[in-house]
Amino acid sequence: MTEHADVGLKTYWVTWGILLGLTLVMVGLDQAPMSRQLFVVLMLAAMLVKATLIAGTFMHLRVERVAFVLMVVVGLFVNSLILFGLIVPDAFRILEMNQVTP
Amino acid sequence: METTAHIADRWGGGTCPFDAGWKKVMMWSFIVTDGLLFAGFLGGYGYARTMATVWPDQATVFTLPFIAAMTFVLISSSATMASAVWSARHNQRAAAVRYVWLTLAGAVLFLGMQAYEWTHLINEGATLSSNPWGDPLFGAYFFVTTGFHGSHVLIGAIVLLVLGINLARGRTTTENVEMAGLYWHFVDLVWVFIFTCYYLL
Amino acid sequence: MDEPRGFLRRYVFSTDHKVIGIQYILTGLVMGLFGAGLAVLIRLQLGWPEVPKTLLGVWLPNGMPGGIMTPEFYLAVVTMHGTIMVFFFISYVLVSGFGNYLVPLQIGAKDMAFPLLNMLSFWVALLSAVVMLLSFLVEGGAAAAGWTAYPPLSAVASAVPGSALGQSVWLLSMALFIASFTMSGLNIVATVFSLRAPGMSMMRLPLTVWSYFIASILGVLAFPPLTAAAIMLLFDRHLGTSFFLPAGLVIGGTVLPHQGGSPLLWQHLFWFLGHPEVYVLILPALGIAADILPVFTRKPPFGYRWSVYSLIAVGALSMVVWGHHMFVSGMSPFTGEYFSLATLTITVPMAIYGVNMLGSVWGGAVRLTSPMVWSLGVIALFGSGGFGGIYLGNATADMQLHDTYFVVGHFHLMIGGVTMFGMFAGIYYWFPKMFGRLMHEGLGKAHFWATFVPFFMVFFAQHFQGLQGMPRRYYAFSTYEYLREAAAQNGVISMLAIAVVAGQFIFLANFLWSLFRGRVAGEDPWQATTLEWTVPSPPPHGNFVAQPIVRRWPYDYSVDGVSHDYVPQTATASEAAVTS
Repeated sequence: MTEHADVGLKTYWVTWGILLGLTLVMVGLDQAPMSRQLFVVLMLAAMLVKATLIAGTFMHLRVERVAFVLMVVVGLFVNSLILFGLIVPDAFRILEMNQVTP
Repeated sequence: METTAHIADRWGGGTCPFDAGWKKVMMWSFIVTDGLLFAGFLGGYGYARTMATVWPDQATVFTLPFIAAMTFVLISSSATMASAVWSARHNQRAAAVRYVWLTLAGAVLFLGMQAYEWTHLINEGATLSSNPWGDPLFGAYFFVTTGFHGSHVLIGAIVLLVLGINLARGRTTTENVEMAGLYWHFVDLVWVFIFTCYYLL
Repeated sequence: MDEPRGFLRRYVFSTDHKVIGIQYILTGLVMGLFGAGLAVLIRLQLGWPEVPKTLLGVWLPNGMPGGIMTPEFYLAVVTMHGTIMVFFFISYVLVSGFGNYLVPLQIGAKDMAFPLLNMLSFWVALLSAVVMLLSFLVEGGAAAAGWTAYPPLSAVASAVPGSALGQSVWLLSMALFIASFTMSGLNIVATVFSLRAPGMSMMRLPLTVWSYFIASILGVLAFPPLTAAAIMLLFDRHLGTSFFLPAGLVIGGTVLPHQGGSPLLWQHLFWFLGHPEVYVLILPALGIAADILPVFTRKPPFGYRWSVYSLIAVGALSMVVWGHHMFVSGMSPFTGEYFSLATLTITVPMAIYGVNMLGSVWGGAVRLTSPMVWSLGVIALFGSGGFGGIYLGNATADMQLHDTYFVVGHFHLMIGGVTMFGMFAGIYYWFPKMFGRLMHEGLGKAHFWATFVPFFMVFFAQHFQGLQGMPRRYYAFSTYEYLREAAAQNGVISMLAIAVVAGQFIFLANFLWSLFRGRVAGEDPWQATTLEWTVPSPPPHGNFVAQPIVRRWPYDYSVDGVSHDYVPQTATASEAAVTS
């Protein structure tokens, strides 16, 4: 197996701490009063930060070749975004149609 | 910064351009496919929720502290797994084995907590086709998605068991520990999305 | 590499990519026979709906009582014809079969990255095929909701007999297929990344390998959401969920208890795979044809670099255009407009690729061998079939053309035509490498003409039937006055279609005869440059005695000053030197 740069043991546990902190924040915000849109944005942002930390640190993506990281990000993340992005407008449309009183 | 010559060297054949070895390439490719499977469920879920005029309030249905505890267990097991991989790479086999057992413990605990949660919900009347809180799709998506994730945790637990035994006997490679680690972190990664979308949003 | 011993380890449970490739090809060809038989049934019904086919009525008493096909059986036949041809014929022979056989050889590797996984993928594939065939025998018969399995038809057991047990068996078979295809696809991707021989850079890969590489990436990225959807459909069918079932459905007078679901969601998730899937099928055919042309024109392909870029562009674009199958589904017209624009954009790289193929032939010293004529057929069908796509990609035009025979004509020219002709080109070209003997040239060309002429006539004519408004999946047209003229062509079309099927027996005879009596091929009967032609025919286990060093791209044909009119990829500079 080819040797590559390592992520230190300490980094893993620091990441663990950050992830837990973020989780607590997310659950805490759940009770906080704020607009629905802001809540969704904050939750999704926190979710993405957690995902990046896990993929980057635990799964070593931050020390892998850029091309490799791109392969994963485009294949999984961009592809999923395309799927969600193009099917959800139809859901909004159905919602609208259901809400129009005949 | 790599020179163009170096990049050309890596892609010129005779070696893997990602300095990764075929096992890692294949494991990550598998993770991409499995991730897209969950994306299918999540996409459907997003679609159904957007379409629905009413949707149950998760804060009333779920005990969020319990779910937060489940998340804590899984994240911690991810950290122990990463430590196992680190130990294996630094030839500390005994430590690696210990960390693998800790990870397995986390996996089993998570499964137990998930089972408890399911039992609780089913006792309250949640099924695949109806639930006391509103839209029948709520139960359907919840059980199918968390069930699918749970089955991945179960498979991960089995992999960890076999890995731990082989590692203790000196019968496996560091690379295999790393591959198992990638799978386990992937399971944790999926949970991050499920946790946010199904329990919080 | 350890040489396996014993008949079973060498030829049955083998991890050798060449054996597995041939196993896939043979399985696919057998499934193709089933698919062709179903096509004959379709054409018999459409050509002569009122004539009782007594013998068939004896063999198929449930589906054709008294020799007249029931509408439900027709739907099942159409469904299974599509499913078998797409997934079990073309995909097995062309994508998994040739992909497994060629990729390690052409990149200079001993085998795939994970040979055991490869073997597993074949046996799961075989199981999947068997399960699909078994679905004919369950109560209610085979699935009848189209190869697209749209709910509610596919989700409600009482909707049509095929939706009872047949649809569930279909879904099981597809789950196995997807598992098998994913294993195979992952192997090809990992192999092309990691196991290329020294000197085999990406831009020295034959177009064939590029096409398999991109097709495998597409398949691996596109199948998973369909797996999720299939699981949800199984839950809808058996466990009472309503993922795809809305409220208020009435079947046979009973209101169904479902509520909250959306059939449109299935369509999105299905076509998210469905569209890339057709590119998974066609790209290898285009790659094979593009690689065969230089061998028989003795000059490099025109625009290799741009062909590679086009393949990549097509692959990427194919992931974002699936909505063009859904223009009339009730999908948002704004999303429809986007999908229309994106679909028409695909025309550009495909046109570049097509023009490059034409340019590859122009000015060459053309040798009209069997592989060459089939490759020329690929170009002809690609061009003509592709034009239909331009009409269909327009959302407004699709209003009229959707679900008509225009679509049927278009996709048969592309999937039945381009892919099948590419497949046959590949078979005639690589048969000598696989079996050590050449196929009979005369029979090969007879097979080509016996296929090409009626095939083109059938599916070209269907474009006009579609323009006249003839809907697809209808089992008869006698009650529609406005379709009288269009339907009148069905008799002739059926005769031509049956002629196509009949012509395939020339191939079967050639295949079997050549296995035992074909002219011995030697290492490089076609005088080609790619790596597979530097090893014996058939190649030994492990392919190469020593790892090849690649020194040039695969298209050094008719290089100025070199004594031979071709230079193999491994030839050193001195071996390719100018000789006076």
